[in-house]
Amino acid sequence: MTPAIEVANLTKKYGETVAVENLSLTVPGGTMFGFLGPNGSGKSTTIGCLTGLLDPTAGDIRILGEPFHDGAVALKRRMGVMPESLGLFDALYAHEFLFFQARMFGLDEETARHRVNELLDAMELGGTGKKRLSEFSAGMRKRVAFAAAVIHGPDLLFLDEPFESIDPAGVASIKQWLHKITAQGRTVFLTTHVLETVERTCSQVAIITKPGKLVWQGDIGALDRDGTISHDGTEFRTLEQLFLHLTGERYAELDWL
Amino acid sequence: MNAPLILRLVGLRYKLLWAQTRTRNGRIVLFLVGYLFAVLILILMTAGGIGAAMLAVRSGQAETVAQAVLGGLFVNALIASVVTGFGINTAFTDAALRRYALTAWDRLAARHLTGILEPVWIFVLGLDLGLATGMYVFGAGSFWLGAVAVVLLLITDYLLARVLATLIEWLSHVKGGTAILFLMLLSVGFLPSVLIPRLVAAHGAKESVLAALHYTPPFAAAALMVNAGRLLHHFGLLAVWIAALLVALAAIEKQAARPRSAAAAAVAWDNRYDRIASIFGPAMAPLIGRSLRYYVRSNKVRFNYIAAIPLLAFLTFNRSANAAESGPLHYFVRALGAFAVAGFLGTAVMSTNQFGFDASGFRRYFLLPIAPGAILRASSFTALFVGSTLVAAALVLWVLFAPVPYDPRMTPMLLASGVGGLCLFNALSIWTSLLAPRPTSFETTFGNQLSLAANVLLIGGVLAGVFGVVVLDKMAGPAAVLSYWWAAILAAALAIVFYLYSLRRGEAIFVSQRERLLNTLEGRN
Repeated sequence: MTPAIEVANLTKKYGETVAVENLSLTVPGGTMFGFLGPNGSGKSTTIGCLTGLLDPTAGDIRILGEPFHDGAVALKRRMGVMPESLGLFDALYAHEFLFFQARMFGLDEETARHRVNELLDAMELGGTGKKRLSEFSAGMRKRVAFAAAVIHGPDLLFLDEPFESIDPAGVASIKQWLHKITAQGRTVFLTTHVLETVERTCSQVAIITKPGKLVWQGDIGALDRDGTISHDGTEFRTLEQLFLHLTGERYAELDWL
Repeated sequence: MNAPLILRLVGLRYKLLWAQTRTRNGRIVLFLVGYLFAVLILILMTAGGIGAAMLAVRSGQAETVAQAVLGGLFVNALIASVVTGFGINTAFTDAALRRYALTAWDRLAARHLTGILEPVWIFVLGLDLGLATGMYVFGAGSFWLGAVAVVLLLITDYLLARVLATLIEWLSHVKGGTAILFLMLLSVGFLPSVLIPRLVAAHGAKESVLAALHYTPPFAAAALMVNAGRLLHHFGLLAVWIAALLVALAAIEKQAARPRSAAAAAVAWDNRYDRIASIFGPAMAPLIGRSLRYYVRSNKVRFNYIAAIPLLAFLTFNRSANAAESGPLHYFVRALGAFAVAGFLGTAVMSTNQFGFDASGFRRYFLLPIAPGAILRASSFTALFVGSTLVAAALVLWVLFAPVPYDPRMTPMLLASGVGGLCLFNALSIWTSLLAPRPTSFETTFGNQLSLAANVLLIGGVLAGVFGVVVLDKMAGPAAVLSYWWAAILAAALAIVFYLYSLRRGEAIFVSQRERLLNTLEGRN
């Protein structure tokens, strides 16, 4: 299967500040791929470059087997993105926003309306017809953003912190849908700080540290099979242990707390 | 009362203002505002304050001059704050202050203390104090009485501006409120031109009006400033005004704070916006439908939209004394200026800052499978379209009601002025939106959240349109203006060319500058 994402020597600088440095990464097609890193390590910047929001300073990106650049309109139509900031238009109602998204991604009016109704019901947002997005709770906003990312049935889905703020039932539904998406050979690229979620949902993981440097990529199926992941001769029983080891992050002690 | 915490919040407000100067644009704004502030204070203290005091003493009519100066400043500060939003920005909302250890009264005090200490009100206080100082220096009044009087006057002015702004904000949210607002604005626009000539003609009306004016805050403050006697009466009058306005403000704020809507309702598909947007073609329709919803649902735009025609009618028809001297054709020349700004005035709060209301939605534009230039095009076309409805409405009203003899050249000239103004100002709005954007709250009706460049365009553009034609009228006269009817059409054609150029150039800048725009609009700059 063609890799969903191929990144070679990606660098992104803001002036003198390096946000992503020489990142090379391959995401196999049809996988649920976890992209992990500490705060400020360049995850969102990388996603920005992979989705056309930001211009890379250097490096090559191929999406679904084709070279990706800012003007790759046809490729963008095959991608769904849920940004960390959600990117909602607050003055609209949920159904208007989803309809707008569907129409922009080429769905005809009837299909768009049908899918909007189905998604709103599935997301338990059916009773929000007179409520603007600005009035939605954080969890509801996240559900709408997720619906907007999947409404056109993308081949590659980027999700930045998709489960944060959503209630357990909502998280369970989304996880089921994500499994269905990958079972159909489509790819999910997600970032989250909840490592247990990654352990349970992802098959492949990449870990980066500041400034956007890849320190590990591999299959985490070993955790399920053997109960450990080996790295540099050390065995880690959880993804969290491996993550802390690789990123050098530690718990800070506060005497007064 | 938790005075130390309230004072710390006032300090925080000024720190936040100062923080805006950390960017390059912020420093430029600070320099310009500081320079203008100093120059204006100097000019107005000497010309308006001490100069007025000299005039007052020489003419022997100190109280009359004080009434005129304080009355003028009072009304102008009120109009400036309500119309432009300066001076009624909400630094801290009640909800934001709830996180601190403050009682309800503390929060009220903190909000209004930070409000009245906004630079605009300090500027007005400076002007008022200029007069008080002048009166004292030339022996026409007591400094301390004058100082206390202007402080009390400033408090009344601030409270009245707040009451009006909160009332309008509340009306713009409730059902039927927009219609009430429109009627209020129509009254403000047309009543003076109807009432003033009748009052002037009626026997004894002038004396009655003057007697009533003595109960207004500026007249009470003027009496105190020149120590005209009955001190307790005048202090009491100002105190009653302040108390009444505080009660009114508390009542309206309580009403306005009640939660609106949010009742569960099934999805109702409303295609009006999409149907209108479909005239721009299938590719642009979703984008324009989205933009239209923003324009129609924004309280700021709605208020400006319904206020535009009454305000311009007021400016066109309320110079009756001068017009009566040379005939109603002068109305036509003034209408040329009003038409030029009509379409822009109604939409400017959004069109000069086209992406400021999008918040994180701005990010989504670049994830869409379209050429990004289409976003700018759609946004600008929407502003043009909404503005053009105002030009059309103004033209219909003019043809039906204007008290001006018919001349076949007038309608095309007014139409050319409307279209030309719309294109010129929307072309300039493209530049302010791209080069001086600012994140803006969609929900509020008041408070000036535009950048300096957008403010210069909005205020300068309207002043140039409305008063530029007064100069033209005085220099050339209506007959000469009418004889050059083709010049209006030529100017409109040039404005259209400039608009198309700006759009094309702007599209390229929109793409190349998107990361800078993203940072600014998401508050990282």
